[in-house]
Amino acid sequence: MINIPQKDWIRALTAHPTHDLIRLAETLTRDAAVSLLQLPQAGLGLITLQESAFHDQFYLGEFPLSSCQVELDYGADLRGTGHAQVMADDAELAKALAILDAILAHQLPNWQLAAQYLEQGQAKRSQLDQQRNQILAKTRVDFATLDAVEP
Amino acid sequence: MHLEPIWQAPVQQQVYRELLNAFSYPGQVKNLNTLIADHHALHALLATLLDGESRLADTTGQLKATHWSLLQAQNVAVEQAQFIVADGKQSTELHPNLGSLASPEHGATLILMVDGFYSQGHAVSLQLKGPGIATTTMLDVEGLNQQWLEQRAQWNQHFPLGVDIILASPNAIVALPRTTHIQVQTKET
Amino acid sequence: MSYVPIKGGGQAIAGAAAVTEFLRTEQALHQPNAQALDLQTIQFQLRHLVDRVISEGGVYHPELAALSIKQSLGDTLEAAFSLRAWRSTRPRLCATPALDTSKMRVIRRISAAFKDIPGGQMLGATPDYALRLLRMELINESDATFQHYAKEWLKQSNPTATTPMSFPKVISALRADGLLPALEADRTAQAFDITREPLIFPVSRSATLATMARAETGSLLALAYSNMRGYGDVHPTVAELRVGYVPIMLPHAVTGELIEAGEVLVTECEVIAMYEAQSDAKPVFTLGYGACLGHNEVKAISMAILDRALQKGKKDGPTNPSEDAEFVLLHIDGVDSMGFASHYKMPHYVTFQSDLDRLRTAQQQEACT
Repeated sequence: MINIPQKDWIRALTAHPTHDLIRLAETLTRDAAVSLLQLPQAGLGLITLQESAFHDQFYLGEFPLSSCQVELDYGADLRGTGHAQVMADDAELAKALAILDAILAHQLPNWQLAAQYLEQGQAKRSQLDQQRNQILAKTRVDFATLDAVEP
Repeated sequence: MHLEPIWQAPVQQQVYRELLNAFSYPGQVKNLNTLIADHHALHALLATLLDGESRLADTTGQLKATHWSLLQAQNVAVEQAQFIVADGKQSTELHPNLGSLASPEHGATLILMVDGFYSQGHAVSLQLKGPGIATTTMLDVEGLNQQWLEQRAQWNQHFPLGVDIILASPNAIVALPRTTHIQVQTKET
Repeated sequence: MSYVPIKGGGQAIAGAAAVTEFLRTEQALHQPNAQALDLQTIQFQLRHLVDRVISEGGVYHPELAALSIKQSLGDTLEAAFSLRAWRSTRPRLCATPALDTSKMRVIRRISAAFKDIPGGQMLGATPDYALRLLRMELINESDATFQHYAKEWLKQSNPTATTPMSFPKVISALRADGLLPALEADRTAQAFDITREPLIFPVSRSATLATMARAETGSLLALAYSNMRGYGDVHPTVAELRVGYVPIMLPHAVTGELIEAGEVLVTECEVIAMYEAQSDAKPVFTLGYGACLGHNEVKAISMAILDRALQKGKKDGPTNPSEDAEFVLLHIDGVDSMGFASHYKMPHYVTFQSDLDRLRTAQQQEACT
């Protein structure tokens, strides 16, 4: 059972070093045919924001983006498609993440190992969320004490 | 990672160089065999020229979903396309973008699939003149319907507006930019 | 103007490059164990500098921004230039769908307009309340002290704190009360890409915001300040200033669901300016909006003030430089402005020779009369 929603998989997995993810993808596809549905590419994406005053859309700037789409075929009717877009300048990483996306989404052979990486990555991200939470918690302004009437 | 030759950047650079040479010297046949192995020259061209922002129309229905996915080009109607793929043997009436006076380069590029650049009885024999050709040059094309040349004359009558054509056989290309004057040589049977 | 191509300077130019590299590395002559600047050091300990370069370079790549700072020896204009040059070599893959900044993972959020805002005010990391006294103890900061602080801070955490990470916008409440101009239904026009199209005036607000988002901070600040001091009429109050990480969401090719590809640090500011009458409705407050990549509050505030000023200039005609779109938008890009200033150093020998000739002629004519 994968408890983490698919929209958070890239975030969780990328908590691991790139070479670990690439090696994991290679290991898990040793017995599979990997075909590229979309070429692994590394380039830039445009950040579109909807500003809050009049809801006009504008481009805030660009970010490094890599993407890839793959199809894995393990034979015996075990196959599935995966897609990944990641904020990184690394086409190989995008390919690895697309492979892991396919394995997790379709529970292809040894998906449990990929799921472990997912859980571990998610734990690291939760730590980061906690740290940011602390920044807020420790600097919250308590207006109540400002309003307290001097005795 | 392993990519087919037509998807490798160094190969695409060389295909692009051949295209540049083809457009610089209209009528000269550029063989892509050594670069692209078993791939059709059409696919090499599309892989080299297109990306996610390009607009492509395929009137042959030849391009499969897998091709579109790899090319990432936008699948549009002929009228909106920057690049159009068509069958050289069958002329269909097309209304491609001819560009504008301010931006004649917005005219579409038409890639016609032909059988080859030799004479085998059904070839059309073309005499070419114009920029990039010293005096005249002769070009035999198998699998090119003459009506394409009639349409071309229509499209290009208001130069600089017009359409540039690339003829693509399985392993070679020839460019016919809108500046090239084409005369069909009638064959004596 | 005529530029003179020169052959003779080749050696001098090569020498200049070598000398610059010498200055970059000469610390090793004075400190035997001198180390090359580590990119992580720059990213962590000079983060606002990195954020400035990210914002002016126009691409969110903290590591390369740190590199550009390292290779430019700290010249922010050169660093932003290098980053822009790098981005121009990369292929464009796509644009994100419009991101929702209310999903921002906030690390700082304040309002000057209201005391009580839904979710509360959190100062985050800010020097706003610090005394501007030099911390002399940092001169000989020991590695041990340095390495100790962050761990201690984390230990003092309250593990049960459950502050939400994201908050509604303050102006949503104002809007709900009818105090702001109503949103027009048809404002979903395609955003303007300043990296592909030139600015041809009058430009859209989309082009204006994009241009200001990657503007050189000092230029933007000076023009906004002119408005604040009286060459303008905005009289702003900060409704909300927030700093945080906005998730980049992109659609999955198979499921269509929006997947998080990464996150970018963004500073966002809304200012409320003077209220104005509307022709067919009650008077409402006017708004200005500013946002930039990285943590740069002065830039976001300046941008919001200029956004409001330019809206006013567009509607009523500019009465001050900060309200004139051409004046503002054409003079705030750091690469453009530093490039032009720097080009004056190029040989202008032929032009100047011609100026000399004309002056001498004029002097002669003066002498004859």
